[in-house]
Amino acid sequence: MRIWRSLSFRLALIYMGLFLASMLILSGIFYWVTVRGPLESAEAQVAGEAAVHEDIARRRGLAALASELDSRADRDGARKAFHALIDPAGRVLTANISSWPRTPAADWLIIESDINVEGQEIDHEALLLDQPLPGGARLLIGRDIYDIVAREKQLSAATTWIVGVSILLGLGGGLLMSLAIGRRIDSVTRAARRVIAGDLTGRVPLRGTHDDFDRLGETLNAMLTRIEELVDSIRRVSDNAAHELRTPLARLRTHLETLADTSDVETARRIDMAIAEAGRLESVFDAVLRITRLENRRQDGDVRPVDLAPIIGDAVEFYRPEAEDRALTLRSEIGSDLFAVGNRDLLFQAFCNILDNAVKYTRPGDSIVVRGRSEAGEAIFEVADSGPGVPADELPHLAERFYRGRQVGEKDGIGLGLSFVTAVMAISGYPPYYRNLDPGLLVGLRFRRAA
Amino acid sequence: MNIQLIEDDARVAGHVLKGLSEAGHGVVHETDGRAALLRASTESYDLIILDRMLPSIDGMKILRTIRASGDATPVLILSAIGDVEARVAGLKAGSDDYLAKPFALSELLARAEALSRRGSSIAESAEIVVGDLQIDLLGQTVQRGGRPIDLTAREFRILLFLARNAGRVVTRSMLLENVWDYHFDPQTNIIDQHVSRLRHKLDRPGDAALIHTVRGSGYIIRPPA
Repeated sequence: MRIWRSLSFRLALIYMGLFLASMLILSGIFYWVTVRGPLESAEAQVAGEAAVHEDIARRRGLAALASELDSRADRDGARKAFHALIDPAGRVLTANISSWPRTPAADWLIIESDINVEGQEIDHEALLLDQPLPGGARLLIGRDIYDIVAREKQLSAATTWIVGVSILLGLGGGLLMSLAIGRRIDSVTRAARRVIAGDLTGRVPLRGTHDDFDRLGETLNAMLTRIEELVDSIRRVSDNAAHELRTPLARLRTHLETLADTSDVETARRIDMAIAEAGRLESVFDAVLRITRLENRRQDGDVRPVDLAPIIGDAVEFYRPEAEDRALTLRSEIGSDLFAVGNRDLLFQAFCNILDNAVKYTRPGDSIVVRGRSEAGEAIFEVADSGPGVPADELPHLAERFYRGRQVGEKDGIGLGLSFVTAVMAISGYPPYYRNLDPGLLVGLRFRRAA
Repeated sequence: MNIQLIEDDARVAGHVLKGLSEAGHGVVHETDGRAALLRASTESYDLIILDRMLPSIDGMKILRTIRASGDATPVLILSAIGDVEARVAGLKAGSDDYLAKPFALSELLARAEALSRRGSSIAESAEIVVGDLQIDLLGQTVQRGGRPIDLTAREFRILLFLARNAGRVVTRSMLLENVWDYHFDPQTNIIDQHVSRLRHKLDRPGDAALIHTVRGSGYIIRPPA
């Protein structure tokens, strides 16, 4: 269960345990001082009296002892005196307690000995010693310890309540505390996850209370702002470079096109190659700028519901000649009810980029399967190929701008296709996912349900 | 060609201005919507290139005002990519073409050429002829030198679009837009595959090529010289 793994809850439990332990130690000391001590002194008193009265019985006989006991019972003392004297024949000579065990007890006896005084019952507890007398008579002699017994009862009741209530308070308080702290930590976790998922604008919400968590949040936010600035500046460099280089590049191309009107076939061929190279450069810059524009658009969320099925169908048809030329088997399984929000032009291009990779990075004879299906109302687009796949350590980097796998080698491509897909999916759904199929690679897109 | 460029982004404007001038077109550049509208209503151009986002007056408003005054000058809208509404809104408001930023200059030039002649195009007959190629629009059949050519629906549409723009450069994204109805700049050469299949069907060994590749731009169909 999650609550057991919560540090704040466990801290609350530990605190509760320590609190209970100190409570129990305190109760123990209190018990020794208010119960155990007085009881021992009462025991000492009774034991002394038992010895004295045994002596009286031995020297002056049972009758003298009986009258001595009676007068002792009438004397006022700190503790009321109790006794029972039974002769060898089993007759009670004198007693001010109502019951006692029939057989002699070796240990201390505590017997309830309530007394009626003018119709009112007074509670007493008699602490008795069973003293055998010479000749077979039996003397039970003792003192009232009602106050001690009552205190012990109060103490145990109080301890039980304190333990019970503090367990309840500890559990409840720990639960509340861990929920409260958990919520604050969760907000930090959520912000971090958003950033990991690629949304660098994710921030920890602050309460404005300037407490520990607010301070942590402020520090993390400052760090995230710094990261965002750094990422932005890297992006700006590539955007500015792309933007600034387009004009001279276009000029270069115009010059080359003017030069291309030459009768020398070899020169014309070389100029054509140079023009193509300039065109390639232009398209790289344009692709960078397109992705940036898409990323900047992310916040607007100005999109409409589209049916993905015909778009996927068009993309597959678009790539069929290329796949056939490369001796690939291109198959599609497109279900219905594939609705998402987005822009069909951008989505078509995204599907094309994924298909383009599949077609480009597989070998003749490989197969490509394009699937469009609906899962819990969310449309899924997947392209699975039987090609060489991508090493596991490269998978997380696939969507990085200009990232190209080690195995790709000299194949043409600029490493922007999946960056574009990721930028489109930031508008229409979730980040693309990649899986190795052994053999082959699966690239999937999961779309947000169309509202 | 006499072109009015209405664009407030200095970098884009400079880039376009240079490209159009170097291609031999006369360009008048405006950065402010109000001034541009005033000028457009008093002077006559072969083509207006209009940015959608402008200070003082929105590009869409300028377009609607021009059209409302009965001016049929071809208008090409420039807009940010991913501007979902822009394309539909632009076409609705009476624009003739739409290009998302950033765009290649060659793309803009090809579209500008295509637009400038659209105004003067004659009513389309039931048959288009390019050299010895005959395209029957009603029967959707194609013959070359009397030999029937079997084309897929897609190939027919590619050929038709090229033939309607015979003698003019058609870029890959123009093909994609008009034949596939998707609007973006294809970063791949996939369209080349479709065109090359079409070529193989059109050209028998010994035939002169009809469809030519224009390096870095696109295709052009023209009768053999």
